[in-house]
Amino acid sequence: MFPNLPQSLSGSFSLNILLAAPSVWSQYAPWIVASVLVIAGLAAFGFDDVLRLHWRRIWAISGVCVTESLRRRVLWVTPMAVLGVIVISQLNQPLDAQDAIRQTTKFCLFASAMLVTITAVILACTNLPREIENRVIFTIVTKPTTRLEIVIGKVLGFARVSGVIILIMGVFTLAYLQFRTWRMVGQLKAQLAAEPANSPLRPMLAHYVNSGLLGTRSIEWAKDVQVFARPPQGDMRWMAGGEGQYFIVPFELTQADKELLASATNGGKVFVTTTLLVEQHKPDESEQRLIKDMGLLKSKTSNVLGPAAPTTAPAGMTAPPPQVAFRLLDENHRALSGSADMGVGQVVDLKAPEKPGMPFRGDLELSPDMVARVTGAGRFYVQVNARTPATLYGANDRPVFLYIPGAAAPILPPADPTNASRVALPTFYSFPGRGGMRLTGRADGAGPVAAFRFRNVPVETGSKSGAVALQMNVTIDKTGDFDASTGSLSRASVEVLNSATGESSGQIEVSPETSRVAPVDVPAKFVAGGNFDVLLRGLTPGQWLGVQNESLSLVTADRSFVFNLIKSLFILWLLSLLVVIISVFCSTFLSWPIAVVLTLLILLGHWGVDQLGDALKPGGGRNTALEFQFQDVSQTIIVSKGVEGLSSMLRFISAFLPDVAKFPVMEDIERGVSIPPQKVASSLGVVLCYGLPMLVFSYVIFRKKEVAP
Amino acid sequence: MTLTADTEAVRIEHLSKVYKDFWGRDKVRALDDLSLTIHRGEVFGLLGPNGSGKSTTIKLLLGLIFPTAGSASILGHPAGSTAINERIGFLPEESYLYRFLTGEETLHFYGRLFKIPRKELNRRVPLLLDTVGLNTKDRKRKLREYSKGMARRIGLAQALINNPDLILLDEPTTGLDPIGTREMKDLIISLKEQGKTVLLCSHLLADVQDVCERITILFRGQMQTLGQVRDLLEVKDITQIQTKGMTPAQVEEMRQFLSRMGVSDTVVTHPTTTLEDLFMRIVRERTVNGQVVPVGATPGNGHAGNGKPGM
Repeated sequence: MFPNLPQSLSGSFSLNILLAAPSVWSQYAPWIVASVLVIAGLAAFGFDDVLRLHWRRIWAISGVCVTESLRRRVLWVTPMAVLGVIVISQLNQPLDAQDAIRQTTKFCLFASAMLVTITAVILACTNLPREIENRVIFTIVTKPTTRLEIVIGKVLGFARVSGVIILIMGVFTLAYLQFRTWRMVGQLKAQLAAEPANSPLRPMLAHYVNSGLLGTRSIEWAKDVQVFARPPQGDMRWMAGGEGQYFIVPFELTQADKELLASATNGGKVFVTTTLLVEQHKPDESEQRLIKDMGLLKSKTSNVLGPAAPTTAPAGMTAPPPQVAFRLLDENHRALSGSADMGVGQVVDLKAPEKPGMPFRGDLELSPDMVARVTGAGRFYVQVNARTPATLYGANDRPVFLYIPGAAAPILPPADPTNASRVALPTFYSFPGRGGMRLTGRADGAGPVAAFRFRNVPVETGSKSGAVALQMNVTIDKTGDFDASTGSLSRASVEVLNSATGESSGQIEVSPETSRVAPVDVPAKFVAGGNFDVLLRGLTPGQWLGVQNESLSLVTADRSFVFNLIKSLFILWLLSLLVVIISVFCSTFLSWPIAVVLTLLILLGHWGVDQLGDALKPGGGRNTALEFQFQDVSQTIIVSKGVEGLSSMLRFISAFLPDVAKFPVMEDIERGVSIPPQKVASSLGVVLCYGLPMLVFSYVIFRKKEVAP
Repeated sequence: MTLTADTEAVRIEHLSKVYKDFWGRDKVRALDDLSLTIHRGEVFGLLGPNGSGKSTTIKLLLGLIFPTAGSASILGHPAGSTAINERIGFLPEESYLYRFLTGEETLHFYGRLFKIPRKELNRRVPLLLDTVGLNTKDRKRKLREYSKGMARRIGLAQALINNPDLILLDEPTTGLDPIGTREMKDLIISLKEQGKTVLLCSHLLADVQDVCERITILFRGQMQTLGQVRDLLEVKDITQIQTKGMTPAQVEEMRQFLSRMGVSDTVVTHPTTTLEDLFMRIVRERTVNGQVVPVGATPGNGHAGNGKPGM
C-alpha cells in the first residue's frame, strides 16, 4: 500500500519519509483516512467486539434478512422489471441492429440498477428501525451477539438479497440479449443478401454479420488528436485561415526570464512574436463570402503568391493580407488578461519576408500590465489563430517566442517533455462544434485533417482476416453550404500511417452517422508495433465532423460479452453494497423515512454537485449577481458572496460524499467495450474507502444506542 | 449464608434509570436506587404494578438500556456484557420473534447465535419443542400463524435453547390458558430443580406465589419489600387446623372446646380448592377418558396441544 515507505526507511533517517510524505498522502489519502477512521472507531470500545466476531452469527443474522426478503416477496419486483425492459426495448426505435442491442443492454442494466438500488435502500433503511419498534431486537441483542456482528450481518444480508436480484436480472439480460441477437443477425443476413453489390451499407452489414452484435472489445484510444490544414510533414504543421483553426504554445518562465521581463518594462518593450510560412490561393465561393463577412475586402490585397486553388470566385478577387489573432491564456486556458480585446484575440498583420520562401513575422507588443500578468503567472500559453481565409499558415518547431529588443536571446517555450533536445511543439486545434473540434469536409479530400496519435498500443495482429478494426464515432453538423438535395450518405476517409515503417494504408472511405460507431477494417501491418497515426478527413462538402479524442479507437482484442456482463453486474453489486451500508448507517439513528431521505442525499450529493458543474466554480457568484442586474452595488455584493459561500459549502460537503460516477455499470458495456480492470478496482476502492468507515460508524452509533423504546 | 460471586446470580447496587426527553431533560425516573441480590438456584419474583420499574430492571440487566446510576452484575460479570449472554435465557413480556420464520427455523436461528453445532441443534430443537408442547405440525408453521399461547411457548423455547444458568422471564404466563400457565409454573419449578436461577417478573400474584421462594415488590421505581414468600405471607396471629372426615356434631364439640379454652372469633368452614386446580382436574379427567382438549386455534383438523402437562 505504501510502496515508497520501505525505501525511505532504509535511507537517511526520517527526512526521506518527510519528503516522500506529500506524494504518499496525495496518492493514498482516502485509504489513509479510511484506515484511521476504521481503527479509531473499532478502538472506541476496546476491540472486544472485534475479537468476538464470529462468522456463524453474522451468517445467521444475514440469513434472516434474506429469508425475510424472500418471504415478503421482494423478488416479485424482478418480473415487473423484466416486463418493463421487454416493453421498452420493443417500443424503442434504434438506428440499426447494433444500436438495438446496445439500447437493450442499457435498458436491462438500467432496470437492474434501479431495482437493486431502490430495493436495497428500502430494505436496509427500514429493517433496523422496524426491529427496534417491534422489539424483535430484544431477542437478538440479549444473545451473545455483538452490535458489530448485527451491523455486519444486516449489511451482508441485504447485500445477499441484492446479489440474488442482480443474478436474476443478469440471467434475464443475457438470455434476452442472446435471443434478440439471434433474431437480428438473421434479419441482417437477409438484408445483406438483398443489398446491391455496390451499396455503401454492405461493409457495415457484413461487419455485423461476421463480428456479431454482442461483441465486446478491448479498446485503445488515441493519445491525442490535433486538427491541421494538411497532413503534418516532419515538424512542419499547417493551419487554414477562416476555418477556426489555431495552435497553442506553452511557456514556463524561469527566474532569469522573469528578471529579463522586469528589466524590459523599464522603458523597453516586450513582444509576442510568431514566425509562420504563408501560402495563399484564390478564394473559392465560401471563402469569398467569409472575406466579405469579416470585412477584409477593405484591406489591401495580399502580395503573397501561393498555389491557386480551383475556384469559382469572381475574377480579380484575391486573398486578403495574412493576419493572425493572439490570445494569452493562463494555465487553465482562460484568457490571462480578462480584458475584451484579449478575450477575442488581438489581430496582428503578418509582415512579408524579405526573401520569398522565408517565414512571415507578426509581433504583438505587450503592455506593461500584461507583462506583469505574464510574469506573475509564470506558466502561460500563447494562442495563435489563423484569421485570413484562403490562407494556409505553416508552423515549424518554434513558431512563437517572446522577443525583447536588445536582449541576447528570445524567451522560448520549455523543452519538449518527450524530447529534451527541442522546445515543446505547438498543439493544433479547431474551434469546437456540437460534438468536438470542427473538421470541414471537402469532396477532393484536400480539406482539413484530424490526426489521431496512437502510441505503444498493445495490438493483437494475429487475427485470421489479417485486419484490425478501428471504430469511428463522430457527430455531423451541416453548414450553410450543405446541399440537402443530394440526400446521399455522409462520407469521410480514414488513413493509417505506421510510424515505424512509414507505410500508409491510403484513404479508406467510411459512412459516418452522428453518435453511431462506424467500423473500419484496416490491414494489421499498418498498426504493427503499436505506434501509428490515423488521419481523418471529411469528404462531404457543407458538413463538419465533430472530433475529439474518443472519436477514433482501435479494437485491440475481442473479449467475451458474458464476462463483460459479469464485470458490469459485479460493479452494480458493489454499488448496491455501498447503498446498503449507507442505509444501515442512517437507520441506526434515524426513523426509516428520514433514513431513506438521508441515504439518497449521501448517495447522490456528490453527483448532484458535479451536475451543477461550472455554476459552483469560483466566480459563479459574480455571474449570478450580474444576471440579476441590481442597481445597488451592495445588493450585488451580497448576492455574489452568498452564492459563493453556498457554492463553497456544497463543494466542501460533496468532497466527503461517495462518487457514484465511479460505478460505471452501463457506459462501457453499452458501447461494446470491455470494462477495464481499473474501473472495477476503482469501484471496489470507493466501497472500501467509504463503506468500511461508514460500517464502523454504524457500529459505534448502534453500540451506544438503547434499543428498548 | 455468606454471599460471594459463586453464590450470587444477580447483584444490583444502587441502580437508577431516568428517561430523558429530546432536550436531555429528566422525564421519568423509572428506577430509583434499587439494590438487591438474587442467589444462585432460587426462583426470585419481581412484583409490582404497571410502571413500577420491573421491566426497566430486566432491560438494564440485559443491556437493552443503560443505567443512569449504579451497577449490576450477572453471574459475576457486568450486566449487559455480550459474553455473559451465553449463560442467560430471556423471555420478553411478549414473544418478539421473526414472524416469517417457522418454529423450527426460529430455534435454529437462535441456536446459531450461540454457535451451537448443527448436529447438536438438530438434536436439541425437537426436544425443546416437545418440552414446550408444540407438535410436529405446528413447528413447521410460520410464527405469524401462531396463537398467542403458541407464540409464548416458542418464545420460551428460544430462551432455553442455550441451556442457560439464569433465566429471566418477563410476564411468562401472559396469553397462556390455565393449562399453559400450570405447565409454565411446573417448568419453572423443574428448572429450579435443575439448579438454575429464575428471575420472574410478573403482576399475576398467584403465579409468583406458587413458584417463587423470594420476592421483592417495586412501586414507583423503588423497592418496597424483600424476603421469603412464606415469611412475607404468614399471618402470625391466626391459627389454622385442618383435618378430614369430621361430622357436624364433632365440629360443634370442637367449637365448644375452643370456647371453653377462651378462644374467641372462631370460624369453622370447609376449605375451597383453587379454580386452577378445579380446571386442571376436569381437563385431566377428560384426557384420561380419551378426549382431547383444544388449547389453541389450529388450521384444519389439527390442534395446538393435547392438554397433557409436562411442558
